[in-house]
Amino acid sequence: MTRAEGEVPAGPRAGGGAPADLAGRLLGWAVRLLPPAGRREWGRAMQAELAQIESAAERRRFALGCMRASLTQPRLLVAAGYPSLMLGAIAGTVVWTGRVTYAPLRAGLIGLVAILLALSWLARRPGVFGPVAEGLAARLVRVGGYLLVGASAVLTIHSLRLATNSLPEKAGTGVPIITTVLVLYTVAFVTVTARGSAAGMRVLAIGGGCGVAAAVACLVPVLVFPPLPVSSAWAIAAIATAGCAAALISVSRSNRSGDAGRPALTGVAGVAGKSDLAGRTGPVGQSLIALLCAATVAALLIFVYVDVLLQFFPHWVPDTSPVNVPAANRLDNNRRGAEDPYFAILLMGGLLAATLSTVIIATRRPQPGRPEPLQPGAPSPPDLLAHEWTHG
Amino acid sequence: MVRRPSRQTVVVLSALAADPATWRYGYELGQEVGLKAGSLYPILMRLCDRQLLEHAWETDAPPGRPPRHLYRLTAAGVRFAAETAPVPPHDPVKDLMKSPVKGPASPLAQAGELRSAW
Repeated sequence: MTRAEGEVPAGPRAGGGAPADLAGRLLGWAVRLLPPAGRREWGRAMQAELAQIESAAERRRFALGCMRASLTQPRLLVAAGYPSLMLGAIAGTVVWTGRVTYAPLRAGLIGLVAILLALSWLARRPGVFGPVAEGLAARLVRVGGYLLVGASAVLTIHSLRLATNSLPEKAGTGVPIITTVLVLYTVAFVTVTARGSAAGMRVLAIGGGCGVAAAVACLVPVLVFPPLPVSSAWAIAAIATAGCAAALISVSRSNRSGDAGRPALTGVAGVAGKSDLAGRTGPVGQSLIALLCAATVAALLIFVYVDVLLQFFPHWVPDTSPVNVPAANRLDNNRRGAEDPYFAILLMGGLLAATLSTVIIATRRPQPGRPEPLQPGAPSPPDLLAHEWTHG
Repeated sequence: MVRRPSRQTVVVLSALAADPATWRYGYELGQEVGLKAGSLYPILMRLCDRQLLEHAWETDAPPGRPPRHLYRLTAAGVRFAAETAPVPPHDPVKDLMKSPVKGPASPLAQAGELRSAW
């Protein structure tokens, strides 16, 4: 009575049936939505069941049910979810910037979001940017990086969408600069966490952890003792501390485990695992990656919370306006004055992010099935780099 | 850890476990348990993925009709169905009727004690 599993018979219409009615056509579409691997057989099972049903109404009900089953397949939802999310973000930006009267500024803000979304889409595909490496640390750094870059983009749009003065300057200079800087951060976060990245899980955990720890440690006194300091020296100190701490921890960990270039199975908080294949750089190279990663994370995180405090919490805006500035303009003037040193922090972090991306791309591991073109017998650039770092 | 199945999955499991040796058709199974295809097929797919359900194609389909998919529980599926089988609803009146009234330990006596405690 039964055929062995895996032996899939010919389709329901193999015997040559009558032309499909509405239910048959609907079910045909439902079957096409099912992923070919492992699920298409279920589509043929549904079609065979439909062939047994006589009543037209019952056939329609059954086909509709099958369509629902196809549409709610997790793989389809994931596949459709990401593009929907991206389209939703673009649509949201278009609506949100509806009150921007200066068209080039509005186009620039929409372009900022579109470019960041395009990068995140590229980061899901095999290549320099992706997909994300196996490991909790890589996922956390990538998701955290996306959140920080996304928050920066939202804060930028929020501050510029109601702007009324210097609009051409903002559209022609401000938005392109912030777009470039946020692209640098995004590229750094996706390259360092990509599958071919030389950064091991341990290094990512150390770098991300030190960056967040330093930024949060500095946030506490800022929250307790408002307003924000006028100078951003404290933020520079925090970024430097984060980088140095990450480098030192990375070196000490690699000394303890013997060789940072080998798979680290004794990682930080259990996040290092067998996927930690940081085999392209020596301990010094891994420390440099940890340093840059920590400093980049700290710089962006500090910028984000400072910008939140400046935009939404007037109590934290330092009073730097001259006495002759009228009270009505005072807050805006103070805000503009306070933002500049912290924007410099963002730019500095962008340069660190660019350096991190350069190091990661230079030391990238070749991906399986994508051999890198090499001269016969010549060491690859990453090997040379690793050699220099390891042997001075 | 195995996640507790949904109520609908339990109903499907119970229907299949009623006669575990028999191969069942999807459409009839859906009618028996009162589930539409949109709910039934995802359940069957999940059960197959977890190797609680085996499936096969009919070999003796009537001419002009495509062979149908058949389903039955695996040994693991039968065990899982037994573990997740719904407990019959507790009916205190029925319990009282069933229990012989003898001595203070009987449910009726306990009920009386409870009533007096109110």
